[in-house]
Amino acid sequence: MSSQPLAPSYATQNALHRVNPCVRLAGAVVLAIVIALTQSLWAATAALLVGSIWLALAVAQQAPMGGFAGQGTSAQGLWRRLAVVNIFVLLLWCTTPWATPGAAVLTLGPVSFTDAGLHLALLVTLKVNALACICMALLATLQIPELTRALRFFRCPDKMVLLLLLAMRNIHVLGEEWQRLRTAARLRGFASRCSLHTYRTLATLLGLLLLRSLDRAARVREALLLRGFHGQFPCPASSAAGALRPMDAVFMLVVLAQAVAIFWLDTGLHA
Amino acid sequence: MHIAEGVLSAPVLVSGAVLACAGTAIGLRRLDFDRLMAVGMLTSAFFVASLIHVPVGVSSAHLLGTGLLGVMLGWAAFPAIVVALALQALFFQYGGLTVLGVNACTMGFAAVLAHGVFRLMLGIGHGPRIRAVAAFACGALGVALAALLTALALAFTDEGFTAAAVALLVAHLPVMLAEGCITMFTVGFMARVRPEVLAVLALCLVAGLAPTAALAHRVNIFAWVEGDSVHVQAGFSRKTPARQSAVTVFRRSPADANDVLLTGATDDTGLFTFAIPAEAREHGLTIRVNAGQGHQNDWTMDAKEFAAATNAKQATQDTPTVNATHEAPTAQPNRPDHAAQKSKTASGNAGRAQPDQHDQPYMADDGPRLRDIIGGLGWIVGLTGMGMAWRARRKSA
Repeated sequence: MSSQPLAPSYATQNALHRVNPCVRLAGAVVLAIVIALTQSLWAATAALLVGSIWLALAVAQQAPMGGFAGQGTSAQGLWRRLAVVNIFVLLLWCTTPWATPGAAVLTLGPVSFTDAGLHLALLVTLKVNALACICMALLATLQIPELTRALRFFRCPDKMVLLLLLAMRNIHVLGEEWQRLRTAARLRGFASRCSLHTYRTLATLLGLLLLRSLDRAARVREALLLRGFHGQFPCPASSAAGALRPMDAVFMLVVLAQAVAIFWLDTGLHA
Repeated sequence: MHIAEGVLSAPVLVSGAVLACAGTAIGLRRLDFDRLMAVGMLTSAFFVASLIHVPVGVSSAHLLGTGLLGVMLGWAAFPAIVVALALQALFFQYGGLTVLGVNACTMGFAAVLAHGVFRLMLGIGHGPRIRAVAAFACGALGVALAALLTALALAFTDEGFTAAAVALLVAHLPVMLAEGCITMFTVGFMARVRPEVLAVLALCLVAGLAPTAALAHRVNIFAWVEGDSVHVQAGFSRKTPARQSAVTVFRRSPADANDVLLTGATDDTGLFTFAIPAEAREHGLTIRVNAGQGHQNDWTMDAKEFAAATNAKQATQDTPTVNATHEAPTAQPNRPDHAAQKSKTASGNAGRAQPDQHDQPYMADDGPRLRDIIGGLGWIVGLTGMGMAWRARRKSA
């Protein structure tokens, strides 16, 4: 459970990572919406191209990054992530080509693949990968403080931001706790099988995890109250939006140009 | 249960986002800063649980945890799920930005519905067996509904995805059973080890899980300490007070016929006032209101609440001009958690002559509100409509 393998440390930041987080979030949202709505193969191909360029920019200059805990080199890690995303696409490839009504292109025994089905499956594959690239390049590289700053800037409710921070902070802690419980159970001779006993044991461990997390929550709450916490962490001096720099404007212009291009390809060729 | 980004069509994405916003808003409104820490922690627990492999048949599946989270948090599960999904999108690229709303809806509404079912079943009766059945139903329902909504989202995007949607549903049938078992055992474990946890988190489960006397119908009780006396207010719903109902005060819970301290009856506004008995300062007390025809309910007060009242009294005696409401916030941070829910409501109103009609906590949490009912009906109508539209489409195709 590597927490943020793609987020660069401040030492390995490149120009893309130094773009203002609010601008980066906005750019990602714009691109994601435009790509999610494309219907033509050409636009989707262009989107995949755009996505891979951003991804290449994001991982440039930080190739030997040590962040991929247990995932080998950076390139391997990226491929593995894309592969996981494509599992869902694989499910769609298994069903969509023959389930979609349309003109049969290829018939293998009782199954006939239709043109509409193949078109749909291909389109979805391109879009899913394009969006995954964009997400990895522009969002997964955000440090959590940057992300919360951006969310606050866009008026995300305080409670929501706080919830995100708290969850973020404790995922590691609880993950380790779970590993410890699992190890202890394994040492006592527990082996995972499809049986009621396994379910009962796992459920007990899960219950323990929940109870301990609640105890921890109570302690953290008291500690925060003692320190005068009133529902918001103070923002660092480089406050909410941060200063906008020329680079941010360039980034936004490029993103908008790409979005318009994809949109034009989509509507122009669709009609 | 994540749909990858880029699969769904615009109408599905937009309606998912809108519904998710509504659900999150309701959840956040029900979530105060006192519970935020616990919900944040449970969010990470939920995230961790979703990485747990559970053997199902010859293969294995991830835990979903929607039912369990719903049982523990109620509506507050919604923002928790949104956060967990956002983090999963950020860490693993499961799901994504545009599809966050749809994914949050499928799991969030499943959690909320599971919570409703759990409450409903515990309303029928209680005891370990019913609790186990209810927890199993919630766990299974959490998965079933999430799978169903995911399948619907897919089927509505394109006719070509219908087969994938059906495959998804079928694949989740065994997962349903596994998740039901796990939820049942987990809830049972927590109820055995720390029964107050479930009660504190899902406010309304207090009556269901506490092993006190059976209550046939719900009569709402609210008791608060003011100066030397305890005021009890009893009522049936938001407007109707329980007039001339028998009030019995017991020493500590569980209520035992041998421990009756005093009895009396409420007046026409449902109010009953009595001086704090000496024993209450040591043991606390239980107030039982019987409004006839099986309308009966208990309210337990800790010894600590009376201690706080004594302090408050002394404070007012020292500075007679100070309004008693100023003492209310002092009593809060270091209470033990299991008493926090009740003591908070009690101390919050400690100094007022009578709690305002609109912020009486017991009124806020009794049963489904009009909004919930309308929302639920809307869901039923919506789901039926979607189902009918789907069928009609298949016929015409």
